[in-house]
Amino acid sequence: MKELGEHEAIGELARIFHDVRQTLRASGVGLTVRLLAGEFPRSLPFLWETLRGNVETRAFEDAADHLRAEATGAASELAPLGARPQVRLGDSQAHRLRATLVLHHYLAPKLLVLAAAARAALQGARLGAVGASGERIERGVPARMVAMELESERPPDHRTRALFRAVRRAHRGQPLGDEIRALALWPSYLHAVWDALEPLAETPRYRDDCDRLARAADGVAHSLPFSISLQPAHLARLGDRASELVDRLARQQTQLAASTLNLALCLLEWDPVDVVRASPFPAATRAPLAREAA
Amino acid sequence: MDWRAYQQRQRIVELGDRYLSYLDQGEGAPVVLLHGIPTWGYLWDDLAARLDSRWRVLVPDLLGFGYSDKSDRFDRSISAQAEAVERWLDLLGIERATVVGHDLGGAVALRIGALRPERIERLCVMNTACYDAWPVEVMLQLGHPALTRLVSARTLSVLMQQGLRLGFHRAPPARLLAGLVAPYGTEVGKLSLVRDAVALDTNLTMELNALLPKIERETLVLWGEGDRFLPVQYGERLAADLPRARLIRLMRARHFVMHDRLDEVAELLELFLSRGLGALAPSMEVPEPAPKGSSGAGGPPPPSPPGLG
Repeated sequence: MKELGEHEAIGELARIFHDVRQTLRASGVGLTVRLLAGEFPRSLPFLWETLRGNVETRAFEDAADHLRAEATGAASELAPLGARPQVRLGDSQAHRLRATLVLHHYLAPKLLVLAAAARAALQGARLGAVGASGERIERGVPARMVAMELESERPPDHRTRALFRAVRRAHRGQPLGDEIRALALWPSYLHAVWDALEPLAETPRYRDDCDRLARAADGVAHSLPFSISLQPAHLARLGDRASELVDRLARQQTQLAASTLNLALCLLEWDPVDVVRASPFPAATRAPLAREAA
Repeated sequence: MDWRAYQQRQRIVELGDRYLSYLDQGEGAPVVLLHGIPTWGYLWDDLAARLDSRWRVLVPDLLGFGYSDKSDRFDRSISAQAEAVERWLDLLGIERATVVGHDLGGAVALRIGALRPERIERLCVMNTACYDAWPVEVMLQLGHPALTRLVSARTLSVLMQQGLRLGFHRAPPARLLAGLVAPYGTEVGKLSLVRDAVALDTNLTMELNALLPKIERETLVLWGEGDRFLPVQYGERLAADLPRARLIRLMRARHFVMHDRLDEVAELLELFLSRGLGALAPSMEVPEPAPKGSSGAGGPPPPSPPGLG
């Protein structure tokens, strides 16, 4: 699997990355988009332009908010991770770590909706809810969102390298989720989280929660206001196979469902459940253009 | 201490939408230590430990550096940094402080001294950016936007360590070099450094020229004589332009004078902080330290330079 780093993008892909960040309201594009850019660079611009109209809507934001709330509810009924008490963090470290968790907690459900919608459209589902509002939300990275800083996939610290290998094994070779690479900047904390998550992830309850989230993403994808037409034939003309793209999106959907749940689990050690359930960056409505208002 | 332990001791303050990490140790009159580029507060760790038994030592990571905010959307010029330092001091309830700056941090210190003298008790600048001495060539290269695509974070870390070594008279300990580049080892850290470098603006030090003669606060100008980045002649200019300044050149020292001559820098600062310029001889040189063990080898120890007990 090949991802395109944000710093590596040039030309059209750099433009797409910028637009993704602005539209998703995040300081990074996320693993899903980086993978698509790395593996399907010709199709990503077409894919994004097709989905974008929905992504910038209140309905999309609400769909992600719904998944976040669902994940928080599920997480609150699982046993606490117990990671935070095991680690000694200074004020600055704690502040930045929490802010990083919040960033990914905001973004992961949005990418989950995106992956679900794209996959469903490619598989011929009719998306576009009749009567749904096309109200749009503001663009731009929230002022207080931290930069999306990720540890290298090959970190200098040997313990973290070993943990990365363990995570990849547990996820059957899937690329590391962004939350793993982000938390690797606080290696002791990440190790404590992984020590708690690894056995938890084997439990039927956890797996059921992840499955429910992934299916919920399928459900909310159908609530998006605008129809999406993603024709496999068009992708073929661009040189990509729809079946491969569908497979990648399906795997991402599974991974993102788990990430969304894991982030809620982590954040419940920092904030009350009502705070974790709510959107950390509520989006204002975008003022309509004059011609739209008319 | 190890840079990870240093990081763990940092506190944090929110400056509007930005955040600033800093160290706060010791008690007494406040002394602020401002680092330069491409370092962070960890630069001052050894010196801070010498001062904190008698002074409250405050060491911020400037915005865009270290473990302060490194997001890609704010002004990193020395004027913005000076304002941020002032807001940070406001939040800590500190009205006046002695401000010590190195490199870019020295330019920030001079700017505060020139524009907000009421915030300054005393000033000390070490191998500081000033006049048109900066940006140096390597910073001009670092600030090019294309660098973010051409060089990986890991490669840049290696290059940075090689470049930083040129700022030391003797090879620094590996833990210090590793620590100085640690915050910049991710793509975000790398990008932040690139943005920091492109924000280096000669105009912002040149516009202070007319104000330097009006800085009434005592200013100690310390300079590692062998600095290849910022030649000592700029220290001479500063000492001439500042009405209440003293230049002390330290031999066998380069850009990172606080490491090359830690003992002497600490002692000079302690004298300056406790007794002012009057405790120091006019325009002096601090020769290379005597080799260890030479004082017991027959003759009397060499006389200490004036101002160093």
